[in-house]
Amino acid sequence: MIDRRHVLHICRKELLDFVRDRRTLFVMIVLPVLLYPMLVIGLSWISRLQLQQLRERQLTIVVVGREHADRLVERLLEPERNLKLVGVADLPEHVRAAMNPGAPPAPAGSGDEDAPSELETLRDRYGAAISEDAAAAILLVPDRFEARVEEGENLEVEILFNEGVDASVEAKDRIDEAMVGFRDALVVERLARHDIEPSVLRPVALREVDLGGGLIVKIGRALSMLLVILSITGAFYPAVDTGAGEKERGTLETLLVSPAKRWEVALAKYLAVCVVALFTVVLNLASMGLTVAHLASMLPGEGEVRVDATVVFTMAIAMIPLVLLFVALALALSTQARSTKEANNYLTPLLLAASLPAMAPAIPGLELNEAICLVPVAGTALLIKELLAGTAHLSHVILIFAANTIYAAAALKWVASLYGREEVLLRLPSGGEPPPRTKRKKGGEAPVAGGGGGGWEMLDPEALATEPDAFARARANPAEIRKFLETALDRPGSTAPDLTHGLLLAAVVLVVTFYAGPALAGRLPASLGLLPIAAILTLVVVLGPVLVAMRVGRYKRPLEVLGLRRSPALSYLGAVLVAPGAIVTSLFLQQSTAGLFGAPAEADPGMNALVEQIGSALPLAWLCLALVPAVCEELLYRGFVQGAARRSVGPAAAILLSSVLFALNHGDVSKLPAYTFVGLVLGVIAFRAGGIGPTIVLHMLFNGLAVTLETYPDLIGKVGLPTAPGESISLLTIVVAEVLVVLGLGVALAAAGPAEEGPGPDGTPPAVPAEAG
Amino acid sequence: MIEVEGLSKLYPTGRGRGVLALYDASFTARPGRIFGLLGPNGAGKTTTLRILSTVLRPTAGRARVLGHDVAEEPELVRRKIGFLSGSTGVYERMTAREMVEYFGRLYDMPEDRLQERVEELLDLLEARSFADRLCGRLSTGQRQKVSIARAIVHDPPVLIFDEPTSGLDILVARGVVDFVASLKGGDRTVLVSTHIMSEAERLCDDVAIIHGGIVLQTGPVEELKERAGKTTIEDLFFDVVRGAVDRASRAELPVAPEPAPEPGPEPDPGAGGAS
Repeated sequence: MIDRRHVLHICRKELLDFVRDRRTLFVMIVLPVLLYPMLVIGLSWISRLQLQQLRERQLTIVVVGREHADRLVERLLEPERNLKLVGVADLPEHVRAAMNPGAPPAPAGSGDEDAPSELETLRDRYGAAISEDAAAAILLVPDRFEARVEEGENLEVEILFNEGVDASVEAKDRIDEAMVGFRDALVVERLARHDIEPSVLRPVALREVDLGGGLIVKIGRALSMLLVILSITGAFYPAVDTGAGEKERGTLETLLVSPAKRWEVALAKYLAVCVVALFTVVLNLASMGLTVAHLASMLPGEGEVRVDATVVFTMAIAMIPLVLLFVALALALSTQARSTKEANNYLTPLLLAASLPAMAPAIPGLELNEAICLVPVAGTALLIKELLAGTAHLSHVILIFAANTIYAAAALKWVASLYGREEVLLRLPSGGEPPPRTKRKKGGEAPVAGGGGGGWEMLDPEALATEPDAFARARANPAEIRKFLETALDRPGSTAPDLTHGLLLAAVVLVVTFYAGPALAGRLPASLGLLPIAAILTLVVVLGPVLVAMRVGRYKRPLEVLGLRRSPALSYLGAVLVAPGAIVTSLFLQQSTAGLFGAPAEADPGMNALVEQIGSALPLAWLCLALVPAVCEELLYRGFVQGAARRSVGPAAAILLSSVLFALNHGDVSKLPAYTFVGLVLGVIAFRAGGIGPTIVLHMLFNGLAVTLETYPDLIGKVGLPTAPGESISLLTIVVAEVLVVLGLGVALAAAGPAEEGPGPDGTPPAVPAEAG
Repeated sequence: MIEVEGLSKLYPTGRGRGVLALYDASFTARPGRIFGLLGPNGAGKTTTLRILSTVLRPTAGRARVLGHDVAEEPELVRRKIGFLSGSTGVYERMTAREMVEYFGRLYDMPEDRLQERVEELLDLLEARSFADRLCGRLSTGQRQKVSIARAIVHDPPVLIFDEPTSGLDILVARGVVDFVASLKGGDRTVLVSTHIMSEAERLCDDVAIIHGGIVLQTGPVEELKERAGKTTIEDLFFDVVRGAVDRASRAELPVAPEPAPEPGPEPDPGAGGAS
């Protein structure tokens, strides 16, 4: 039971602590109040200033063949252009020297050379003038330009400029204006010669009327991304202060020995950070609203201002659960850190991860739909954009609110569980417990004689279980414990990959698949045939890195590291049963998610070519597309990665991790849920079976059956699967499939395998193996 | 009364391994006396006291504080104890008075009783002059006084001090030792851990000598001294620790006379039911 008084009491104290901290106050109040106006004013001021400066500056341009363009020059010299015209001869000596004096500047337009060499010639001749800032642009007028134009010829005048130099672009724009005026005048003259009214050329015109807020909405959109990010960061500082800060200052332990329960402490801290973060959001919103309103009053021509109180209020409501979520995430990360510095290191990736979806409004064409509503930050950011544009739906507001509330609750649960874990709470900055891991030197000093040593060193709890007699004897005499530890420590096979190794290998495979895969595919002779090429690719990009890892890691028990252990026969039976069900389920998931992401599953042309080849050689297809990938991927994901992860985290986390990594290597985002599901099924079976034998069988059947179905389209219809895009899977098929999945998993789980070796990191006592020795 | 029976603590360190910080510890601290937990750094003192103050859960064994099991009724135990360690910090952005009041309220003390008690403690600890200053601006000695006041604000029947003088200057340390000594008497149980033998000499009625996570000896100080033929706790301590170390290293040298683990449960290299 939660004591409400304790929670409120601790919460009040935390708030007092925040308020008395100037840094918190700064992040909370000063930053949002000042930031928006400063940003808007500052940015517009800077850009206006620069623009003005450029406008007012007189720009020098070189006109080659000036004598052929009197009327054009006249327009260029109009005072509002503010251009200074010079010839090549007027340029400073050193510039002319750099301009390749050997080749006399000839007017372009001869047009004999091919494009690249012409560009090179031009750059060679005139590039120096622009880069030396002697001229902003160079105009190349053809021979007898105006005379020929008078005669009715259509000619080109070339303008040389540098897109990377602001002044050069500005000069180009000014010349362009003069040119347009000149051209229009010519057109009018030519038409007059044929007695045609110039308006004939403009039978229709478009008049633009923007009913939205115009510029205001654009600025609001940019600010809304900032709003989301700032609101999230509003939680960071107080979370670090109350989580890692309390540990760092050495006050957490005092709180833990008070009658307040852990969960009360966690909740109180969470509430306190929420208050601060929400206050920051309100201030941010108010500041942003005022800034935009002020901006609107300064720009009267910009139409209606859409930022009214209701919109701001709805925005606030939509932000609340997102903030509650990030408060919990920030607090969870901060609680696990030993110091505030470490906490900040943890929070930086969180901010980066949040910034990416916060950019969603900037993605052209991306509109809020039900699927995006479920994506934590992106949904809220898009909603704010739509609220500002006045196109938001109430259903989206509700969905986003509900989804984020659920995420926030889960994250809060995480925080509470962290506060229940002593090893998290007692990660003290220094000198705390547990003692640092010390490398034991063989035959070195006895730990008892070690004096200031950290008590007993590494103890293999597995040994406690396997050698109960030795342990019992050791209890009688401390010296025996020493010996007992010696034997425990010298056990072979202690070097095995852990989570870091697993993640690293999975990342390497992902990168290799992405880069080396296509490169290699292009190099293999096409005469090999698509199927063998696919198999070779799998061997190289998946099995290759695994073998390299095994070689580099020099693990003591390689077979075990790869999950190559005997599994009970029942596991194999379960795997066979699951296979057909898993295909249907993954197809179903693919269909559902593809719909959600707004992109119907399209046929892959590469896949079609592959399917054609399969038709002629089904056994080869089973070998290349089913057996080889099954073996390679199981060795990697269920063997190495899942096993490695299991040495660092619990079984559920290890299985989930390997499944997601597996899914990530299987194509686009819309297929992620489907392949994660397949990965989970494989992971659970491999975990329970204690080896990857059954999952290789399942994986092979899965791929093989899928390949077979592709080859026999009439079969697809018979088993109730969709034969054309847009069709759905028959209900009966789905029911049968799910029954098979459940049945198969049941059989596989019932198989009593050596599922675990040693205890988990959570310190659960090891199960004494049934047949040791 | 604090009863400790077969208490063990294993810190998991991942990869199926762990650090055995405390092994099979047993001792009893009686009311009206001061019990000393003596041992060098890393001996397992802090682990023991943290288990007793319910911050850590024991891996094996049990401990009872006034009859309440620390693992089963942690909240009840926490109400009965006052805990202070040398490394305890104070809330720098609260005043001394606020800090003591904060903890008093967490112990659900009635407001009038709390105010009375705070005044009493300020006088007792001579802390009135800095009571309304932010703790961040206090000296180390003043901070320690605030910590003491915080630990005893609810007048607990059991007091646990984990190296209360570590990191303090000699004058402040002396004051703290004097204060701990003054707590002795009545029904109060006081448990102090230290590696400073002069403090132990001054304070302790009973001791447990702990080393390498193992309680080597425990009992009334006078009895232990007499049995070992020593006159000071310091001599007693080194006698006990050296004895243990010698026995351990003797066992280490010749492996021959004692056959290593019985042939029965031979450690299997592929253990864990692998193959």
